Amino acid sequence: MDYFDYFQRMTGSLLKDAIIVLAGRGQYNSREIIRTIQEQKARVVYVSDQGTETADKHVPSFLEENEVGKIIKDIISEYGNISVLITNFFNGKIGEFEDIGIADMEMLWENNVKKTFIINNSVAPYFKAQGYGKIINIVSASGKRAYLGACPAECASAAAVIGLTKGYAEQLAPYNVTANCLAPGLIDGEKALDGKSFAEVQQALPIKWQPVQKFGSCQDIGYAAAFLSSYFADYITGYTMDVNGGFIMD
Amino acid sequence: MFDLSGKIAIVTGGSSGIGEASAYGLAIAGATVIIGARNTERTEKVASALKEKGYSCEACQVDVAVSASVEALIENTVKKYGRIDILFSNAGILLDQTLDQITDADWEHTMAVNVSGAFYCCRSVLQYMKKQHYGKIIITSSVGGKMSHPTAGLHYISSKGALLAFTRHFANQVSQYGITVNAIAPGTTMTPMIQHRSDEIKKAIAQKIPMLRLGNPQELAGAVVYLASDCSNYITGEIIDVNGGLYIA
Repeated sequence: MDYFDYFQRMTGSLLKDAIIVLAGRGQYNSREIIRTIQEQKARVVYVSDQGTETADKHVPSFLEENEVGKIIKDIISEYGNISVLITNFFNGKIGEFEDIGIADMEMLWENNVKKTFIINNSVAPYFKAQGYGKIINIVSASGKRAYLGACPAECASAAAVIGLTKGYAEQLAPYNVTANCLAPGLIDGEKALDGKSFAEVQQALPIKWQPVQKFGSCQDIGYAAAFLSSYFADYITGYTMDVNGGFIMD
Repeated sequence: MFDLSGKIAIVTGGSSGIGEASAYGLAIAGATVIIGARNTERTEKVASALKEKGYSCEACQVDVAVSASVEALIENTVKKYGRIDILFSNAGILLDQTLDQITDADWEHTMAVNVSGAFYCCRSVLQYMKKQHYGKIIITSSVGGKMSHPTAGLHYISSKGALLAFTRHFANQVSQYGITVNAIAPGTTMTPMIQHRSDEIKKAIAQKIPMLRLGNPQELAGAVVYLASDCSNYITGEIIDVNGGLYIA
C-alpha cells in the first residue's frame, strides 16, 4: 500500500468525485451540513419536498415510493452514479408521556422512520449493483437516551432508524456498501433549545452535565458526515457516531 | 478538513500496522510526528520514508510498559518542539496463548503494555495539554473490548475492555482542559498481529465478517486523523468501531 497515495486527499479534497444525495429538512440545518461537505469538493444534490434552490431536486412526497424511486433514477441519469446517501429527516417532539397520543407517534414514525426507509430502500439496490455506496442516516442522541424532554415516541422513532441502519449494514456489507448513523446531541439553532443558554439546557441532560461545555454545530455534523462519506470510512458499518459533546458515552 | 499543520503528534507503536499507517496519515495531514516504538530499526525506516517526501517526522525509542521511558519520550518532545497536541496511544501486544496456557507473566506483560502503557502516556502528556488548554488523545482499543472474539486470548480481550472504560472516564475528567479523548476499536486488521497466521485461518476469519474481508491499517488511520483534527472537537469519550460489521450493537 502506497500510503502517500492513499492519504493525499487528506487536506481539502477528501470527497472529490463523490456524488452525494442529501435528503430531508429535519431539525438540523441541511444547508449548513451541505456547505461543510461541499468544502471537501463533493457534488451534493439536495432533495427536498418543500421548495428548492436552482440545483436542488424536488420530490412531491418522500412517502411515495414511486416518486422517490423516480427522483433517484433521475439523479443517477444526470450524474452517472450516487456514491453516498445522507438522510436528514429527523424531527423530535418534546412532551410528557401523558400529553402524547397515537397521532403524535404516527406523525413521528411517518416523518422520521418511513421517509428514511423509503429513500434508503430506493438507493440500496443501486449501491448493491455498483458494488459501492454509503448510507448515512442522521437521527438524534434521543435514539440512545431521552434528553431535553424528548417524548418516548421520539426516542422510539430515533431508535428505529438506528435499527433500520444496522439492518442495511448487515445485508449490504458483502457488496461493499456501508450504512451508519449520526446521533447529534445539543446542536446550536435547533428548535428544542428554544433560545436557552448552555448552562440552562445542561440541567435537562441525564446527569445534568456534559464534558464539552458548549453546544455543537451543524458544521460538527457536517464534518462527521464528510468523514463517514469518505473512503477513509470504508471499513466502518453498522455504527452510530455520537456527535454530542460526550453526554452519552456507550 | 484534516489540516494538522503546526501540530505535534506522538504515535506509540508506530513502527508497523495501524501505528505506522497513522504516522503517515498524521504527517501527510501536516503534523510533526514523533514515532515511538521499541524497534528503532523499523521506526527509522518509517521516519526516513516520510522525511524523504518532505514531511516532518522523527523516530524515538520507547517502551510504553516502563513509565520512565514514556516520561523521557514526552519530556524530550516538549523540550524540542515546545508542545504536544496529539497523542495516539497505540502500542499494544497480542500474545497467542489459549486459556490454559496463560501464565502470570503473560497476563502481567499484556496488562503492562496494553493498559499501563496507555495510562503512562496519557498521564505524561496531560500536564502539557492542560497548560495548553488543548489536546487530542486517541487510544487503540479493539473490537475484542466489546465482544468475545474467538481467536484472541483472554488477557488481550480484558486489556482492550479496560481501555474502553479508561477512554470514557479520562474523557470526562479532562474535558475541562479542552482535551478530547476518544478511541478506535479495530476489528480484525491485517497487521503483524494477524499477518503471521496461515492463509487458511485468515480466510476463515474473513468469512465471519459481514464485509467478507479483514480491515487494512490505513482504514483505521483515517479515523485516527479525524479524531486528531479540530473537526472532531465536539466528540469525546467516543469509541469508533472500524470492523467491517463484525460487531454491530
